[in-house]
Amino acid sequence: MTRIPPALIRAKRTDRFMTGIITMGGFLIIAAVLGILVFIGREALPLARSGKSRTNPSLQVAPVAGLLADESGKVIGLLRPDSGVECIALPSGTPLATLQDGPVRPWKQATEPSSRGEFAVLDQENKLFFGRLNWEKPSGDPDPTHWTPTVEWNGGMPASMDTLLAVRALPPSGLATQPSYRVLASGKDGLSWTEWSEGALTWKSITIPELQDTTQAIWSADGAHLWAGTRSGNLHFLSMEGEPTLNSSLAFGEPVTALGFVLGQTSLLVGGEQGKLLACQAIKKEDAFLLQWFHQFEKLNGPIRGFKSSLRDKRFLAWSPNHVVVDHLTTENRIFSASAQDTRHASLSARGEFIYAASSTGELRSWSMDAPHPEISAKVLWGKVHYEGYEKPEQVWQSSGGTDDFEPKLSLMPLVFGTLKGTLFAMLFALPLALFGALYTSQFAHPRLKNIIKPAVEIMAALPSVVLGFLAGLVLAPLLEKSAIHVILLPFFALLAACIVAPLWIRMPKGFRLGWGQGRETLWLIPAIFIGLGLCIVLAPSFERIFLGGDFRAWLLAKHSITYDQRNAIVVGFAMGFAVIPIIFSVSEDALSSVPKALTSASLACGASPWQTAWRVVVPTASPGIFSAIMVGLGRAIGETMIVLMATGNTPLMDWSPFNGMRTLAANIAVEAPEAPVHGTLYRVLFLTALLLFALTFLLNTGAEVIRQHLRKRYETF
Amino acid sequence: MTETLNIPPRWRAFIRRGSAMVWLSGAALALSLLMMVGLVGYIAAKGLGFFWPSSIVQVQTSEGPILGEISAQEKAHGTDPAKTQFRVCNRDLFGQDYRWVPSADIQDPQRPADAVLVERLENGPFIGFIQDGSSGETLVLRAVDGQTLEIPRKHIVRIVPSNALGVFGKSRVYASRLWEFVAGDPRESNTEGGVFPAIFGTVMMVLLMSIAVVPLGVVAALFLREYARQGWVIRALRIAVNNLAGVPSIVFGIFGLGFFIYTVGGTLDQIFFSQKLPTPTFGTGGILWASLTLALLTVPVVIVSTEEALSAVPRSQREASLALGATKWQTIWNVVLPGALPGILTGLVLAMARGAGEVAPLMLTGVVKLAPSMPLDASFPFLHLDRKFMHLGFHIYDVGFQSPNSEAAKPMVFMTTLLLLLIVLLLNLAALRLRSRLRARVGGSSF
Amino acid sequence: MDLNERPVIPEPVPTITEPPRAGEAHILSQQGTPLTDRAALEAPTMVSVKDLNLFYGRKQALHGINLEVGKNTVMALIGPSGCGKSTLLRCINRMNDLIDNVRIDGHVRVGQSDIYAPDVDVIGLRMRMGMVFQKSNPFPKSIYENVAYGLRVQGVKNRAVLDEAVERSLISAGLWDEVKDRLNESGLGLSGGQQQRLCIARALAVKPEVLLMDEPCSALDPLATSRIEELIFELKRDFTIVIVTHNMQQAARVSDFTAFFWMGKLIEVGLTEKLFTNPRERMTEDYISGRFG
Repeated sequence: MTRIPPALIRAKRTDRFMTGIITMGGFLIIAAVLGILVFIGREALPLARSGKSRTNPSLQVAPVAGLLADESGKVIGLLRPDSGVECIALPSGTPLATLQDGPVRPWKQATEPSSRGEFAVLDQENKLFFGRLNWEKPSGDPDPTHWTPTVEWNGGMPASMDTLLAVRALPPSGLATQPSYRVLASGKDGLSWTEWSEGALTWKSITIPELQDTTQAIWSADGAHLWAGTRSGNLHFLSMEGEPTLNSSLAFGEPVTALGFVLGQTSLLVGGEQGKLLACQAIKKEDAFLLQWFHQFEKLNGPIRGFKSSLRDKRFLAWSPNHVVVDHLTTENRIFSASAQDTRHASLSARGEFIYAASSTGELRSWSMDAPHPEISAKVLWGKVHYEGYEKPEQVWQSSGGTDDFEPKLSLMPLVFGTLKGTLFAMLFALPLALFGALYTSQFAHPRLKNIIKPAVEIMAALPSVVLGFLAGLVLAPLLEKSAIHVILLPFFALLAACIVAPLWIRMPKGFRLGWGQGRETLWLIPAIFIGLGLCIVLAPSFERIFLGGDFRAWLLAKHSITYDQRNAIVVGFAMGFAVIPIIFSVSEDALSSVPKALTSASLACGASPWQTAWRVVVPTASPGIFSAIMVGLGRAIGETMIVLMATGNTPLMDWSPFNGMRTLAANIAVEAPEAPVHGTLYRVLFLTALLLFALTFLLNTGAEVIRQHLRKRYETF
Repeated sequence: MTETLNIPPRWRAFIRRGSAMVWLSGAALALSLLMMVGLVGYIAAKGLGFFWPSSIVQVQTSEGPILGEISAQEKAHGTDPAKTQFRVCNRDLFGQDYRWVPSADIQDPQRPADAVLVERLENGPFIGFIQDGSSGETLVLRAVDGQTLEIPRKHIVRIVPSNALGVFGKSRVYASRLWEFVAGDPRESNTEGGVFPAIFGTVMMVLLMSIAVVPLGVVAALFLREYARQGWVIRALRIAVNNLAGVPSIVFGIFGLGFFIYTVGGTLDQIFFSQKLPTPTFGTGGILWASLTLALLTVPVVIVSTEEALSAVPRSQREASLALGATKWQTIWNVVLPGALPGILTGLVLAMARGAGEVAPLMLTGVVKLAPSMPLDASFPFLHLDRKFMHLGFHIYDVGFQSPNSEAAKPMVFMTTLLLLLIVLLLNLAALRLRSRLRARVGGSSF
Repeated sequence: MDLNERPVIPEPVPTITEPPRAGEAHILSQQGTPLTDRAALEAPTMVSVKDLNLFYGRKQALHGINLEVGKNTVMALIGPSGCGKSTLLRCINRMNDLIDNVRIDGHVRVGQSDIYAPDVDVIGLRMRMGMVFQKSNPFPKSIYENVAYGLRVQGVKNRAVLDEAVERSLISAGLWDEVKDRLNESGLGLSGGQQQRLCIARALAVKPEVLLMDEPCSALDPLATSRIEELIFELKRDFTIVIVTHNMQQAARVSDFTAFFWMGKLIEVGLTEKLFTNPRERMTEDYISGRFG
């Protein structure tokens, strides 16, 4: 080899460099594009992860009568009958403060504090106090040692009762500045209750025989009702407005040892002596209440002693003397379970991250728990779930409600259903038009006509879906509402018009028919369609008057009790069909046109008519291609967003009626994603639906592509 | 059966030989085509007609006189009598822009020559008469029911004495309104004025997208076609990449939201803009993220057409170049890429058309109904990639469906739709032309 | 052609007795007997192919080829389609490297260097070769840029050098007078024969040591063909030319030596005159007399 010119060295260096760049770049780009799937999957994956928990070191404190963890779980208040409310920081156990004001110590009795920090104390002098523990936190200071605990005390009047059963703080009403309290207590004379609001207590006794052996009781959120559980294993629901009356009862099966509400205070948890754990709700139907058990949880070991609910979601803590668990109401799943000997009191931090349990000897055990999405289970997503306020298990999508204590309902079935319904209606409309249109274009149309139709259709495929959605929602929907009957009748009138045109056509001289008709039938049919439209406009009102009593919608409601939504499945089917017609048309037209000429010639040579050739030779040969066209069209219809968003009411219903709307997976993402908190459950569920959409359309398209390639290979042999 | 019915032989042949079916399939095609043409025509008619000043009619009804433009008429339907809808305007006086009146109740229609339509910056247009136009500061107007209104002159966009204008005068009003639509800012929560920011946002976003999508698509296509070892892996990759074009756009949208905005943007904010937190800079939707999302969405389009174009460059030209001692890259740069340029351009134009028409992914990645400032302006650093932007497609959705006064906004939506349609169709036509020229040059498609 | 009419050919036994020595021209026949000739002896070896086997995947396309081409001579490769003559041509500038699945053993020497040696620079090698293809394949560039292409990729930027090379090459290719006024027009605008001469000019511009021509006239009309043939005759003064052709008359007209290939084997090689008038092999005779091919 002689000397190498420097330019060559440079060129070769560039070549090597670019080879590297392109190989790496190309690989990266393709990896990145495919990485979309991975990313979406990764965002959805935590939904499937079960909760993790960790046992933290335990502390030794004095025996307590109640535990009260703060929202953060970093501080805890201990109710100590002999020394007041003691607050310590966790996990160090550093004492922060002991609040000794209020009731005279040692207290005779203290109730288990509610999740919101409310409790009642019967003090040494038999005076009844209502307490509420608060933490004053300098804004933004995360150090719990800088926080100041305070107890707001109310009440303090003598009460001659033995056992406090249930206390409920009611928010100040009218001009009052302080809350009022309803108290249920038992004494020598049985049950009695009172309402305190700045003044003395007047106890009213309750003389309902069923409540004789009441062991546990709890007030409803508004104080108007009282739930009572008995030793004989019954749960009673009382109305406390005016004279206490027994509304209805449910059999529980074993002595009731604990009652508690889940966040939202509509689902009542009932715990029994054998560890049985059920949830019950009262649904108001007209004037009566329907009481039902609606969730059942795994049994605990030993008698259930109490419940604490999270203040963020529907999880709750339940404990027995040797078992501490956290369950989720909606999924009925046990997120956390630990055996802890001699547990007397327990507490759950408001976010549900920390669990504390105190033993009779004052050992304070603690656990931390990481269960980011306890409200999701396969059953929630795909099966029927009995939600709060619902009479029976249902599949519902309702991701957010007006209040914080709303129970999210994240069943994907209504969305999948809506997607299928929309796709079905779109296909019903698009398939015949697109396939027959493609058959005509490929087999019968005049080449010149074909040269216009194909690019026109191709351009139509690019029509922005927002335009179609806008037309469907703002033009078609009101039009259809006004003249649904016209649209229903139109095909019949169009056929009628064709029947008028056809005989005219047959009577034309043969030369004219061959010269001007073949390949141009479409052009001749346009007037026929217009005639049909005209007939329809003229005759449909009379039809409606005679057969449907003058108003189609009223007739529909009266005869078939079908309500008519303005933005319904027909509108969507129409608009989405419009979007998929060009796609199905082009793909199937390609398949039909590429059927080898040898086959059609053979058929024609055997004396078959063009239609017979098309129908018996071309269509069967191209059927895989047509099938793949349908698959591609399906893929587009499934993922269409804007049309559905604009042309339906986006109501996640499960109803096949063509006159109702629906919500599809794709539209649901568009509606919900902007408001979904990052990495929240809804956010991840939306990613799950995106993954579903991705997988579905990807499979459909890949299937279609594989079929097309097979077909191409088959044709090559000709 | 057919024999007993005595169908003429001509008819029998027509049905048995399948001519009837040919006609039926022809009808399917005719129907599809008619609907498509009708759709575009309808939008054009509705949109373009809106700016033409229509006559102001004064009628007497049992509820007093009405002055306005006739906007719709409805025939008797079931128990409802025939109705006429008037666009009476004067939202501040009457509370509503439109009014339905039973047609039977209308008497004595007139076209008062001195009636004017005053377009204002606030409260929509006014229809009435000029009471006192002598002051240079304000204008005193009188509605048909006698109420008077004084508005500052600087709040007036234009005064149209529709009944007094000839064809030429109306044309001038038409042109002026059209210009305002294209070049003006929106007013009255987007229901009046122009759509310039939306046009600008759309163009800007599509340009940014193109800047991202061309290198990505071309490099990926070069890799797939020229550098990668052809085998089943590459074949599978190619199918996968092609099929990404069929993945719903909303999936890309939520990916953009999760990846670009929350993951990448959130990280950028932590590193570079931590002093502004918790107010996000890049951790929220913006034109950059929207463009990148759309680039991902459209990159398969560019890859596919670039690959097609690359494979259409004749092998003999590559060999000639290589035989002269050119390196592979020199061959690609000097011979292959110039030859494939029309194909790459076709892909780009198709991608732009698709990008311009997509709305769903933008809704998650940074489009807003009213952007306070444009993504490109005179303040440093001039190009604000973190800013939110307006978009024609979203404008249609927002004004048509989210607007409180959607009836009044409808004509605007039609016009915006027409504009978007025009942009998308023109881009597609351009792509079609480019491709047919390419195919003519290399002789036949590569499929 | 009816397969049954093919003459029965005895299986050739490629035995090579003696490797050729450098600097001395040896033209080996199938039997290995050196055919000495005055012209061949005078010309130093430019291209030598030794024991060359080539496989496409598992299919062998060239079987033990031995061939030498003298400097400033024209070697014509003839034979029926698919006999491997184009493949051999493409071995000389290693264009077969571009095809996947190709395996080559044996040696090809151009000048002093073994071009299949592991350290050889393929790009540099191709710069030393010119190649003209079956179908004219000008780039979609101007005539000027087409001719200057080879120099440009070598990094030549000097306009004067380029101008000189373009003019020289176009003159050599006999195209100068026809295109000198429209050097900036597209090369695709020329007629078929002109395009092919443009491609020749493009190959000449880099001053190649060897000019490889792969059926350069197969797509041309007789008039254009004769122009190219004249051109080849003139080019012989400055270049070593290997030409693949289908057309035996053409081989007879333009070449000094002719090699006949059949089924990937070199059947006979010798002075053109001799091979056409008095072939030693029966198969060669059958082929040139048109009995098969």
